[in-house]
Amino acid sequence: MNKICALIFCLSLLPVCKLHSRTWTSADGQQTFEGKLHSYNKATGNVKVVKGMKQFSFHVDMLSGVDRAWLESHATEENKEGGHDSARVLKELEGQVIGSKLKKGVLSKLDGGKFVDYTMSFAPKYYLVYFSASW
Amino acid sequence: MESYKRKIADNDKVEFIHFSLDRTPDAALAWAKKEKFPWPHVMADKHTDSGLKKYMKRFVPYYMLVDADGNILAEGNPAVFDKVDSL
Repeated sequence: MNKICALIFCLSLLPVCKLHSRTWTSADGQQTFEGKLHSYNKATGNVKVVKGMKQFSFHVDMLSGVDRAWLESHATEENKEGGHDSARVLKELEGQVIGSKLKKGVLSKLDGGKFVDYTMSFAPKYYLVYFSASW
Repeated sequence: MESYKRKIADNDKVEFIHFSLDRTPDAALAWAKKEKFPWPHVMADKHTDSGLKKYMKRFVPYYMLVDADGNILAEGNPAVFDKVDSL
């Protein structure tokens, strides 16, 4: 009985989990990719999409007109910068020895040909650290 | 890069962090752009803040897998990627 209740509960969550997962199309219509909207900053035009728990960021101009219109109508308080999901991840990271140090301003990521500040979109249990240099 | 794509990119348990030992941001950026590195970096001016400096060895490249509490689980390649398979 408990297993049946658990299954029904999990199935009831499916529509919520898929809420912002969609197929995105590039501005020229040549490329598509799957991902869940993490955040959209209207002021900067920065879009963050999570695919397989990893975060990718790009400017809204790289997306098709359909996607840009979708963002305008679907970006809510939940997925704006600093939304509820970000707060939950931040709290989880603060509880870690490693994650608590890798806060805003410490990590950077290649974005549009330059390094920009990067904040993790999830709280990993493990970190694979690669010590290296170009020389 | 291939090991990253196969074992880390879509792994919700593991994050890959590049601890850059390039002395200048320009050198690090040029390398990252050339190789199209998809992962987050700790640049030289953030080594101390990151808390990862204490794990640094006197040679590169060097891979290390740690848990969220900072315990070392595996060192070197391919040991770290083999360990990821068992997580």
